[in-house]
Amino acid sequence: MSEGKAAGSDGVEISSAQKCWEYRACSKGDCPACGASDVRCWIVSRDFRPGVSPDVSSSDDKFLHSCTRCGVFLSHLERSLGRRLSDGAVADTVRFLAQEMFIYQEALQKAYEGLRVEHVSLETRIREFSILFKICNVMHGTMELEKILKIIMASVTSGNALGFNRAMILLVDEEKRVLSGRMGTGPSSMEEAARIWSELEAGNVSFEAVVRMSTEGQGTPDEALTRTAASLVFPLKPGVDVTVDSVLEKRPFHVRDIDSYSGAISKKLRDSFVRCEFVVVPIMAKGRAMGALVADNVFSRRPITEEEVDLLFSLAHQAGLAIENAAVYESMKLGLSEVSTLQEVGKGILSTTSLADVLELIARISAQVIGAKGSVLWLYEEGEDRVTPGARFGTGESIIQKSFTELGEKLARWAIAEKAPVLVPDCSSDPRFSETEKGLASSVMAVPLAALGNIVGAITVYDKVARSDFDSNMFEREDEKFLGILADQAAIAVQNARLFEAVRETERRLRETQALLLRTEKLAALGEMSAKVAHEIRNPLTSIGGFARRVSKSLKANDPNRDYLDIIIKETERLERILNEQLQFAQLSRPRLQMEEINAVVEESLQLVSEEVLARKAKILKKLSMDLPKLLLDYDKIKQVLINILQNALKFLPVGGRIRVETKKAGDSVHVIMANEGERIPGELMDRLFVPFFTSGKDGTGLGLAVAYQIVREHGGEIRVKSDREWGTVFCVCLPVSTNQDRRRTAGDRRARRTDRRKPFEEGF
Amino acid sequence: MKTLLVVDDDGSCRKLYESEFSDEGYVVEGASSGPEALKMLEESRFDLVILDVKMPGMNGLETLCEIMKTKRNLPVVINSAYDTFKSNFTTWNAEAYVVKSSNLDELKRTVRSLLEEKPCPR
Repeated sequence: MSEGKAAGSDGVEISSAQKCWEYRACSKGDCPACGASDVRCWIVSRDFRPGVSPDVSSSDDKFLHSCTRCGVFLSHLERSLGRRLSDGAVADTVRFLAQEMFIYQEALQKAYEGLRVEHVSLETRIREFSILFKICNVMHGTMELEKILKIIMASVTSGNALGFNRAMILLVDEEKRVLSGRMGTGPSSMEEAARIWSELEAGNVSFEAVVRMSTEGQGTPDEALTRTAASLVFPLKPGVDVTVDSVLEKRPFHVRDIDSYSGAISKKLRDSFVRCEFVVVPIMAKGRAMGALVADNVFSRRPITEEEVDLLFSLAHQAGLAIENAAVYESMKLGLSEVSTLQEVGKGILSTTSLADVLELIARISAQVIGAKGSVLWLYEEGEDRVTPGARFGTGESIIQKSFTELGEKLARWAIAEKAPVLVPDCSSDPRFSETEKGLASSVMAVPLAALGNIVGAITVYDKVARSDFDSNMFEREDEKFLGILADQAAIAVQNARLFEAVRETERRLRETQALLLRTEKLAALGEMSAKVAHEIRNPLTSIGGFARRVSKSLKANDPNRDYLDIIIKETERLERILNEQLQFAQLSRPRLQMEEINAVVEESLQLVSEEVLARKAKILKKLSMDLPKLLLDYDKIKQVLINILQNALKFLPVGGRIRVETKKAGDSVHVIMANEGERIPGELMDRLFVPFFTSGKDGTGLGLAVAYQIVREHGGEIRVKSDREWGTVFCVCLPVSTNQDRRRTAGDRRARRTDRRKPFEEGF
Repeated sequence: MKTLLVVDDDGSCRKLYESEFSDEGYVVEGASSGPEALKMLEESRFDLVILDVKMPGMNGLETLCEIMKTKRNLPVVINSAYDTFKSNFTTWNAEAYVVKSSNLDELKRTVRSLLEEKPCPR
């Protein structure tokens, strides 16, 4: 952490990286630090962990004594404490400081760990996403099956994409009910593999270039494996081969060890392809498995991770859609211009990552390509069963557009519920529509947006405009198919955009956490400072306020000087309060837990704010549940929490207002609810209430609620806050019952340790 | 009448305590440092000690250790501007820990209850 430097007693500079025994060149056999590479000088590195932990037992005292005899250590310690230590006090002071440091460092360490893990997983996700994104872009740019297959092969084996050694693709033949090999990619021998890798490495060939080379038929040595693939034909029956099982069960199969694999691997596959760990994923489109993708690392022998399997599975989904699209185009025999329109659409959709832009684009294109007067794109939240308009496009009159939104929602819900397109060629003859609805549109259509099996929304279009005399002005089956293809691409785009936004959100959170971490460090430094300052200020404050009280008491009740003295007393109290808050925050000591009655804490807290309650003429509505379990908590700390929240509530309470204090059991927690009348806190401020140094502008240091939050979190609980119609602000301190019980042992240990620590004193008598 | 010893290097504080506790009906004497306090404790009898922590030379905690060597049952109230040591004041064998404040009510309450509860054993 800190790269501190310190001067030894003899003026020699030592750095925190240096071990104390290196500096001292001592060779005391009884010092555990001697020769240890992971033990640094505590005081210089400020790293107390290896030496003294709160769990220090008497056996560790050897360590302690070695250090306390070290000149560097002592002189630095005394300097930082600002006083000389007698021999007797050194060990205890060190132990005490070490304990404080340990707690603080442990907390920081944990925070760092959490961040690091989050960071790594985020990076992985972003990388995977960008790979998939690149592949989709290339794949959806073509409509030829052969090219699509080549792109899939290149994607699976390119080092810049998924990076498997070999891959093979098998497709379902629906008529013959067989799964047959179509294409394979990968070197046929170790030597070839080495040659290709060195070539690729030397040229640093991009993924796009690999795709170009493979689709233009040059470069990659596909022939041998493609011949192998062509020889594979499996009937679509369970137990024939792992590839068939993957197709039938629609799930990936990751075979780590072919010899101990309990499922079926056909002799043909064994002889011709698999030799080691491999993975099979089904190629899916619209819930149907249309083939399988096999990949392995036969040359590099690199183990296949679960993440890679997931990524391959996602790729296979994209591949399935591209293959399906190609087949539909083929069967529809669309004109060249329409195909190219759709290709452009696909590219446009896939290259935009802002959700709003994507939705807009899809809505516009749907209407334009189908020849509809207008369209609405709906987003569907499955968990909440909510359908909301995401984007609109329309050339009709605005009144129609607006009204259509209602009719559109009805249609969208049908399509989403059925998971199938809804086509109403002629609204006027459809009994499902009311007369008003019939007047809104003449012909309507809705298709669901489905991505990887999830319904993410729907597109609705209304009123077809005939493009020629021969064209109908009603929507037809062909239009439905066409819109279906668009919807597939749109669904992927929506899914991608959502994922992208999730990634962005995670990144934002990461930045925030980092900022918080930085702030925490600053606060700790501030804490040390304020502890020093507090002492210097508190002494004179005590005399000023104390004497003012004395004088005030001695004056007659009607003496005008009493008012002035009261001001001095009040202001002194305010300064003392600020000092207390500062110091509280500086102290992050662990809670000392005991079984306590929460109602007793509530009562005492109310008692302690009774003066402020009187001053505000506040009415307290108290409703304490009488059958609450005892909770394991630090009485003083929780009291602090309640007082801080009550003081905050009093600060915002209009004179004569009401404050509600309630305790109750809720599931596995006990809730202490404190609500005050007054203005509601705006939502954006609500999020920042617990941020240190955030203040409303009214007096206060902005630490009260931050401290409360910190303490409750240490108890494994949380503080919730909301506004409702009756109460301006409602705080709820939730303290867990069950986890509380689990921690009882720890508290006992802590008490035991405390008793231990008293021993050295008692033995002295 | 019970006799208190106030140990504090801050003269104003000492004076405040002396006057306030005299009003409460105690005999109060002051010491401005640890060694002075130890000397006074040796010479005369006290029922309770109010002890500041941060003092030049010998600090309050060291003084407390010394006191405990000879007068194990003498109640000592630590009275410090820091509340840092409050979390484990029992380690130092003090009876109570009151953070300094211009409002002396808590300190008075503590002193009173300690003296009522624990009549001086000597």
